[in-house]
Amino acid sequence: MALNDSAAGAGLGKVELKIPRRPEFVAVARLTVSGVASRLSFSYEDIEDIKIAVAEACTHAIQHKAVITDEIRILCTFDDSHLAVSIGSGRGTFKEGVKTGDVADARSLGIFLIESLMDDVSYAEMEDGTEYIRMVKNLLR
Amino acid sequence: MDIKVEVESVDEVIAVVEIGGEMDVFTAPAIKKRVTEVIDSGRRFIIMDLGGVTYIDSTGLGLLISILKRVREKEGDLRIVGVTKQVQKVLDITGLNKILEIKSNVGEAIKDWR
Repeated sequence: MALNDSAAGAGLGKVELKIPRRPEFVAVARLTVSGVASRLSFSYEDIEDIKIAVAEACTHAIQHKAVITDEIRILCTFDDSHLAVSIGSGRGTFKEGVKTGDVADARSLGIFLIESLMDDVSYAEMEDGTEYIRMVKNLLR
Repeated sequence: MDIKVEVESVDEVIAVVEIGGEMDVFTAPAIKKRVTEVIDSGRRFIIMDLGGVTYIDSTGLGLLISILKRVREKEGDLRIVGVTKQVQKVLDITGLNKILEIKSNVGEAIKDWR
């Protein structure tokens, strides 16, 4: 998978992270991105929103049965106006099997939470078929 | 694992389950296992005290819903106390605040169960 600058916008500050596709590492991704957000002077509440969104995206990737890779890639790009977090883990990770509308479906709830908490959410597919979710939080000054 | 699950049995059918730490994809299986043991022991009226929960995500919410379903199957009920600001926010966003019964404290939660 090639999560790169063209995926999230060129000419920005960048932090990249790869974690094993295992539940115990979701907190690592969450806290790393939280650290990036705090350096950008996001409010406490915004940082909490970003943490949830990152964890939900990673959890979704872990629980998706069709994923074929053993790692989750996280790319943070930022400038003085926003933070964009792109997360991907393999083919068909995010577009399939979501939004069932069932409150007992945690994966559906997860995507709903992401879309509620972040300012802009989009899904894209790379040339090799891997998918990623791009989540943007704007920095209000 | 960064999670604490403490159970206090109030009587033969009521139990308080106190959670401390994070309720996420990593910790949810351990919490579910412990709560399932409590329900299977006959306690079908469960109070989940989330006062020590520092973080909850959709997996944690899904766990609460699955506990609710399980106790209702046994003609019991689930109530939530100790809701922090972060937990309240995700409950409000997802609409689960209308499904899960939230009480201010344990005394209030068990009042009409006894």
